[in-house]
Amino acid sequence: MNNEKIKKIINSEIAPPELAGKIIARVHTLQKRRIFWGTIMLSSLTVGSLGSVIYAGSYFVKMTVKTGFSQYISLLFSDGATLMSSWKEFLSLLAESIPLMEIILVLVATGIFVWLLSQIIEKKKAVHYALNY
Amino acid sequence: MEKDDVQLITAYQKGDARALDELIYKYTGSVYGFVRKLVHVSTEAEDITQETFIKMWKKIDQYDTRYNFKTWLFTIARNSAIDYLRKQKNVVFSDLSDGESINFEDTLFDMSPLPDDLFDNKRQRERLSIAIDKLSIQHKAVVLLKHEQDFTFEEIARILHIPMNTAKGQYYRAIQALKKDVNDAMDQIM
Repeated sequence: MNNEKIKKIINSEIAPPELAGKIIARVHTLQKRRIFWGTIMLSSLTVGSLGSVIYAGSYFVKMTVKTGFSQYISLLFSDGATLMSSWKEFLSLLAESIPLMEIILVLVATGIFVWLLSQIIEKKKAVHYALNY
Repeated sequence: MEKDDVQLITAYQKGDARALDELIYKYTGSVYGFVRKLVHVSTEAEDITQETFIKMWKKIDQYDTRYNFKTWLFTIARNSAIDYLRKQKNVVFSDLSDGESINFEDTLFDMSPLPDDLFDNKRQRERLSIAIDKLSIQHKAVVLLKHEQDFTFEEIARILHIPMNTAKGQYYRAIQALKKDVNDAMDQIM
């Protein structure tokens, strides 16, 4: 075949035998670096996120006291029978005192924290590879 | 059983690091050979080959498995080699593109390469090898991709970012240049 003859004439250059190994070693180093910094950042974000959950939670508790929501809830458990007679007014007071924004804040902060934690668990395999390969 | 490229990439994307090592072992030789012919310097060819695989690794999550991996890899290799040559100021822009307009009739010409008798004479074969090295970057790339790496014209066009008819036209002109070079050299000897 004419094409095969041209192929032979081109005299393909032979790669140095150690080149593939060098490339693989370099890729591994970059992979480990990426995993290391990725883990650092993920861990930092997770710790920060946990702090946010704690802060949001404590702020939520503070607001329930300030708005009276916690008092109404404790009233529900201590004097439930009496409340039944005027349950409409009670429900209305309860609804008005709910610290809605704070609840949303707690839920969002908790959601982010849980997601970050799941990412760390998922990356555990990659971290194990980076430490042992 | 040996895995194909798509299987290796999919395995790597799922967390099998050794799959990427296999890909690198598989293509280091051919990428190096291609780059070495373009840049002429072995040490630079090694660096560019390394750079090609690093870029490939960085972009592997974006790689679309519907497309041929080897074509994608050689696109990166070619671009890396051209970037190097530009930095060395060894190449002018016109060397990288075929400024001549392509006549459709050119692409209909006989695409079979050189006459068989060119390969019968040792001196002619040596002359042909030198002539290939003297081709412009673009023409050399087309000839190397066609005959050394066995790419189709469609794949060559994708690697070089040119229309398929342009790739065929450049190949045709490269072959004409080789024929002329070898014939001129033989005429001088005679």
